[in-house]
Amino acid sequence: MKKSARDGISAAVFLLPYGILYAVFILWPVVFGAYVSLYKWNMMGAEDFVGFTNYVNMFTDGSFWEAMGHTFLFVVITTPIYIVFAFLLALLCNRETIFKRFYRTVYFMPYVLSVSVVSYLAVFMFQPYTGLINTTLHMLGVSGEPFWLANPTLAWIVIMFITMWWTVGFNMVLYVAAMQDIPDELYEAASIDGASRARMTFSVTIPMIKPTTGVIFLLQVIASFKLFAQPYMITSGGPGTATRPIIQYIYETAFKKNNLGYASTMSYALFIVLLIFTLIYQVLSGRKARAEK
Amino acid sequence: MTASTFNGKHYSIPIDTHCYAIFYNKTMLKAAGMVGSDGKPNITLGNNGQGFIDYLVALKSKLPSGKFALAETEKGDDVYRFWFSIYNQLGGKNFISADGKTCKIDTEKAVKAINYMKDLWTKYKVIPENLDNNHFPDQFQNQNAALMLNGVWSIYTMANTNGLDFGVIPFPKLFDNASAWGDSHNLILPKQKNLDKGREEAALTFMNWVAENGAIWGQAGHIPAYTPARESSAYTSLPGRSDLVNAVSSVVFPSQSAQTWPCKQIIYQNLETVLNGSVQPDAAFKTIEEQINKQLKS
Repeated sequence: MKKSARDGISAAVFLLPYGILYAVFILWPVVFGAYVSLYKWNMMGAEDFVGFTNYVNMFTDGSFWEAMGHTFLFVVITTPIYIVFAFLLALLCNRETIFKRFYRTVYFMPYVLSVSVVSYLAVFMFQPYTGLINTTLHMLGVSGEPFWLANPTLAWIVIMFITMWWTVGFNMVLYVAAMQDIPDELYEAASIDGASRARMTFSVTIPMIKPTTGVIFLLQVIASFKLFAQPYMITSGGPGTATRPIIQYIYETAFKKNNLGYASTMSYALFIVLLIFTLIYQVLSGRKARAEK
Repeated sequence: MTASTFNGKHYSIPIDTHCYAIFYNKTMLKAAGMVGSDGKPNITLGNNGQGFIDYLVALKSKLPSGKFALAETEKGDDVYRFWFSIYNQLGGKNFISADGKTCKIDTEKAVKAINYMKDLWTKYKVIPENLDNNHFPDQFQNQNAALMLNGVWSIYTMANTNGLDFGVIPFPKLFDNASAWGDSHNLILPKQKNLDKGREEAALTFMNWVAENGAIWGQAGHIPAYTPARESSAYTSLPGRSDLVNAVSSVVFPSQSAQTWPCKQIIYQNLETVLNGSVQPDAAFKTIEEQINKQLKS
């Protein structure tokens, strides 16, 4: 047998275990979900074939649009903030100080916690009357009692803040790696030309890590669209439905309202949104790459 | 047993009733002088719920600073349970029609119920605002709250709290009826494709044993469904239970519909917005009716 054929076979054998799990648990549900979305389907199984009725109903479902709106709001507000903070922290972690290793560890550590732990931390910190934040505010002389988890605006701030604390370390590490790949000669050349530190950051660092910024942007947007566990555990999507993201609405429709057909429909809507976003992103970054050549 | 019978057929074996009740801290109430000669809170019943309000306001004024009268949450299932109890006391019945297809809420009584509740937070301030729905019982457990509205299932935790001398009374008759929210755990046998008679009989023997030995289950706080178990000394000798034996007669169970849980969530999600002031009660119940009707059609 030719070597390349042997290599091909051993590659396939190594990929097979993961491939099987991927096909069964990721690819198959995607296909099956489309099938379920055409039915009235409950926990006991399929009921009636309804064709595109679920899709039509989705467009007039106020709760669907509200939940989508919340998720969009989260994506649009947090993506730039998280990327900027990851970049700033990476700058801090890249400077030659004695605390360099300490900073890197400390800012990355929250990422290893599970989302349940992070959510409960948020609840205990921001609880009224006895939470850490409010008792600290009272010690500092603040007399009011901010209801962090009951006021919709404050609740969103809590969710965005705790998610940032939890996940910024990951993007920061990607940036640190990218920054270390920047050749020192560029900085030397810049300082010979009389550039200040700030100028160097803007004209050397940021352009050189642009590919990483692109990847982080794509990953961050997709991850933000999948927002569910934190609001679910911190505010249950409340008060009322003020902090309910689309995935929570899908979850409630499937498992609380026993309507898996409609839930699958909405999952597909979300999938299409992310697909369109990714395609636009690919086209734009492909165009840019060609322009730069 | 009536609740587990549908169209003349038995569908499940009830093992308990668990209902809404008032927990009271004996130490705190005695110190405030708010107990009757029987050691229970001397709440004046009826008078359109005013008696309860007066009691809570008086209690609040007599408690030391840092303590408060009543622990209850403005979020989640407990909002529904509190509202449902008052709604039924006012004469509203179950909100799903007998045929299970439409929502029938008596809006006037529904609004009256939620306004009564809301005043306890905003007008009389006898309940601190925004207590967490999972952790508000902690306030009773820590002896910050003199009273707590909760289901009887909390009895076990409270009974095992050191230093907490408490009692439980069924949800009192504040309005026209002595109704309280309640539900029931039932044992069922799912329909099998191939029925093994031997296993079915074994399962039924077990279910029977569970019902008869309800006093053991009752240690968790639930009220046994099987009458001899409920009236047995094994059950009634448990702390606080003797007051609950008759609670079962005023319990209002949910409608016999597969949709009560989704509808319950619709109700409390909308009631939360009334309690936090962002939606007016009339508008909220209009939304509730629309959403429940949509849910019942799906």
